[in-house]
Parts: sequence; C-alpha cells; structure tokens
Amino acid sequence: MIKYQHQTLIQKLQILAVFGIASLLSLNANAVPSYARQTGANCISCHVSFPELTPFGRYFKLTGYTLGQRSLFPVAIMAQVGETSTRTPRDKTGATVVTNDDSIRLSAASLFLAGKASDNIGAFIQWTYDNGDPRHSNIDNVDIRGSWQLTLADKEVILGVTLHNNPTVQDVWNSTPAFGFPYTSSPDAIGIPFSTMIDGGLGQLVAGTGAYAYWDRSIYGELSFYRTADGAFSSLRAGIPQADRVKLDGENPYWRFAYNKEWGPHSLMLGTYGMHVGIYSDPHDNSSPINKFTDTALDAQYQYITDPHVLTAQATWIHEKQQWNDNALTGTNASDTLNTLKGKLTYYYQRKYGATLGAFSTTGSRDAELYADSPVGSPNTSGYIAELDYLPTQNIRLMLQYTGFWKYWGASSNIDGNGRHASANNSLFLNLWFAF
Amino acid sequence: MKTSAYWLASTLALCTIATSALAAEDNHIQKLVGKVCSACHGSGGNSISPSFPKLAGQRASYLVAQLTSFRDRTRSDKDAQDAMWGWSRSLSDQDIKDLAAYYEAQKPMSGIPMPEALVKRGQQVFENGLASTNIPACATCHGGNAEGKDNIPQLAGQHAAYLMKQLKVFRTAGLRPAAVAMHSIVAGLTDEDMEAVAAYLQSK
Repeated sequence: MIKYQHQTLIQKLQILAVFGIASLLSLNANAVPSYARQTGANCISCHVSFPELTPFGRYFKLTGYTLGQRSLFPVAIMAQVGETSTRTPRDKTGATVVTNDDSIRLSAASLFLAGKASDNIGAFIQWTYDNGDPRHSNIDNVDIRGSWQLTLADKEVILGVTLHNNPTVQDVWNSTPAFGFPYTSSPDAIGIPFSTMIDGGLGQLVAGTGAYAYWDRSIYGELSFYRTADGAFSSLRAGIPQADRVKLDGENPYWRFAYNKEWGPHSLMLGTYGMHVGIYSDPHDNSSPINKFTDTALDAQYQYITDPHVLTAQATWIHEKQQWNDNALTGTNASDTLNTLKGKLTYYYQRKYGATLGAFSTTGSRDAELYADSPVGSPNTSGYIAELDYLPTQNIRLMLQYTGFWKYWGASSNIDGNGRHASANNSLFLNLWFAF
Repeated sequence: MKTSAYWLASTLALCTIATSALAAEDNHIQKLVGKVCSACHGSGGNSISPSFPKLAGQRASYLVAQLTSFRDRTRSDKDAQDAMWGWSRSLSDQDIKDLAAYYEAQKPMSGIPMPEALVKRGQQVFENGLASTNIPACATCHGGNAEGKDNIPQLAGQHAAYLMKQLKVFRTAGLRPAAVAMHSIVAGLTDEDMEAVAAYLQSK
C-alpha cells in the first residue's frame, strides 16, 4: 500500500500527477457526488464549500435527503491526498514525534451510499479507509432519515426521525462538532489532544435514534437517545476494533434547540445542544462502575451568501462535567470539568478562492492521571488555524492549512518535560480533497 | 434495544399521524411547490434570499418560457446550470403550465425601500431611457409599473441583486437566447445605470 518515507521531489510530483489526473478524469466522466446526481443541482446549491451547508443544504438534509430523483446507484467516492510538515517533528532527545512528516500520502478514502430511498426516506452512509497506522477501514458517519412536511397555521413544518451513529452528525448547522471546522485536518500532525464526549468521543460507537421538528425555518427542536451500537444496531460501528468500542448505560438523552433567522442574503442561528451519557468503565462488564458525562453547549452561526462574495462564521462553546466512578483510575479526581471553545470566520470569492481563520481553546480541571502526558496534569490547549482553499471545480479542493499552538498540555513551553515548546507542534498541511 | 425500538416506532407513528391529519398537500403541483420550489423561491414565491428571484405574481407566459428553457438547457447562465437545469429536468409540459399559473396567482410582497437618490436615477432610466446611448425606456416593454406583459417579465419588487446579475448575464450573447433584445440594450448601460434601475425596481 501507499507509504512514502524519504520521497524524492520527483516521486512526490508523480504521486500528485496521478491523483490530479484521476480528479480530472472524474470530471470528464461528468461525475459528481450522488446527491448532485439525484437533484441535478451542483454542489454549491447545498454547500458553501463541502461540507459546510447553505440554507438550501440544511433544508435538503432536514427533508431527509429526498429531493430529486431516486437513483439506482446512489454512490459517491471521496479521497484525500496530502503532505504534512511539522515545525519540529523530533523532540529534544532526537526521538520522532511525528511520523510521515514531509511525505505525500493518501490519508483517507471514503465510499458513500447516499441518496433518496422514497419520497420520505433517505440516507447518508459513509465507509472510510484510513491509511494510518494501522491501516483499516470501517463505517464512518451514518444518518438515515425519515421526513414529512406539513402546513400548520400557514407555516411550514418539517418533522423527521433519524438513526445515526455520531452525536451531532445529524445536525444541519456547521457550528456543531461532527461537521464543524476544521472540516479536515492532517492525519499525521499533532492535533488538539482532548475534546468533550459530544465532540467525537462517541463517533461510530453508538446508535442514536431521534425525532426533530423545524417550524417555519425558524425554530428547531430535536430529542435523540444514544445507546451502545450492538445487536440490531451493530452495523453502525462495523469495522471498529474491539478495543475501541464502548458500552453505554442504557439510553442516553441528547437535546438540541435552535433559533434560525433568514433575511436577504443573511442567515443567523443561535442554539444550544447537549447530552448526558453514562459509559461503563469496562465495556465487557455490566457490573463495572459507570463514568458519567454531561455536556452542555451553546453555538451560533452566521452566513452571508451572495455571488461572488460569501462570508460565514461559526462558534461553539461546550462545557463538560465528568464524574469518574472507575475504581481503576485511582489517581483521578472524583469529578472534572472540560471546556472547549471554537470559532472560525470564512470568506469565499466566487466559491473558488477561500480563506478561513479559526481559533480553539480547551480548558479544564487539572487531573494528574487523566492527563498523564501533561507535565502539569492539565488539558489546557489553545491555538489557531489559518486555511487557504482553492476549488477549481466544485468537487475538488486544494487546501493549505496551518495549525499553530499557543498552549499545549497546559503550557506554552516545556510541554513534554523535555524543553519542547507548544509551537514546536505547529504544522502545515497541503491537501488535495476530491469527491465524485 | 427495546427502548430504542419503541422510541423510533413511536416517533415514526407520530410523524405519520401528524402528516396524515394535517397535511393537505395531496395535489402534485402543491407538493412540488411546497417541497421543492419553495426551498429557494420562498413561501408563495416570495423568496427571502436575493440569490433566488421572487416568482409571486410573475407573468405565467414568462415563467413557462423560462422553465422550458431550463429544461431544454437553452438558457445557460451559470445559475441556470447550477440549479434549474436539474430541478426542471423532470417537469412535464403540464407541470410547467401549472407551476406558472400557480405563481402568477400568488400575491407579491411589497418592495423594499432603497436609497432615494439611487431610486430617482433608476426611475429616470426606467421611464425615459438614456438618450446619450440610445437606450429605450425599460417601461416601453416592461410596462409603466414594471408589471410586465406576456413573455416580458414583471420586474416590480424583484431583488435588486438578482436583477443586477441578470443584466450582466445579458451582456454575454447566447446565455439567455429568448431575450435577444436585452443583449443590445445592456450594451449601453454602465454598472452604475444597472444598479440604479435595479434599486428602483426593488423599491416598487
């Protein structure tokens, strides 16, 4: 398989050329993702740039991916090829901290089964091959929906149900974690080390069943419940290694309320979401202690969409209360808190040339055992992401993303007890991302 | 497992009952309008975003011509290609006639106030044309109140940004072949003239 250590410039150019030609061939074949084939509309109808949704994209998702004509083969594929360059890929002792630095790699490829099944039911099912270490493939995001529309007191109401496998993957605003910024990041770079349970902690591990209502494109409410993805729901975690699985304590509630306002080319959303979840400390032992997590979040999104200018902004704050009942964690506090704050501002010209500036901050209580990698036992990490994008066509994105850290593991210097600065983790990621 | 199944089944049942009891969209065109067209063109054809034209009260003959040209792909400006080619591809001739009749019957919302000086200049161009470049008055074809006639669209109350975009589309021959006359007319209009006319029309 593809592994590129110590590549020469010629080898890198050859690899880029192969993927570039593959992308262009996909265009000649009039190949666009399956929803575009279903609706006949181009990607920009639903996306500012994939995966960020426009007001119409949100409508398309809320109505269950059912607009357009049903296709016999509602499939699409996506791949990413990139190179990461870390500021200091080795620590002060000379040991490698970042593998695959300065190598062009296929980072991931996905196959989608995504389309309309009937006038009321549609699906988004993603299977992803991860070219990491170890290489493997597994189910990725899943969102299967049923949706109905009605008119109540002269106002449009969308009602729906969803079966999915990642909290917030069902949400339609890109301020929530599952489809939040950064929309992709380097698989090789040193990333943000800690996040809340609702922010990817349960992705592809749980089964979520929920119901939602959207009134007059103004008020949105959703109630979902999460349980272990086993038994009849085991396909929602297909391919996930046994060691990574979790067992939830029964049904765990998730809530979401949002106020949405659209006027002229503007749209604004102010919302809250959250969940309470209990997780067995030993997934194989139903009598093991249950650790509990309560996440409460606020979020907001603003979009200004015209031709040729597009401006969008998202932000979310998540507060997590952790209650540790696991006897094995002898040095852990009985309870901890973890807070994350993320925001970004994006500008696109002609939906082709984009620039994004984002910032992130993670803070929380000190816990020597939980954050054992930190010399000060702290999760505190903060930094920024600057990204430039070029989309020659609507389904190809060439991006340059720089991630900088102000603080990592609770410190800006000596983050590993060996004199490493937080900024040594800064990285530059050049990525070609295409879908067809 | 049981709780999830009950939860899913009960919400499905609730949605089905609610839609059965309350939904009145059993007519094909009503469904098409409610589920597809209104997503961009707004409830009753009064779109919110200026990216999408208002259709409420628009001339049916004009709508028939446009929907047909989208379906036949003879209208080929970028927005048409990005969206309307796809949405119109499965419309029958009867669907097109019914949709046009539906939107012509809808009540347009009143215009949005625009800067007075711009409106005044736009009104001057609209009603009198531009003698310096031999541009005829827009009102000659579109009517004194920009109400349109037959294949000539109603422009009163339309989004200024949409009008601007279309006026610029007319500069390129062949993108909207049904509006050949507009190609020569816009050649004599500056961007400032267009902005003024668009502002005047949006304010009506």
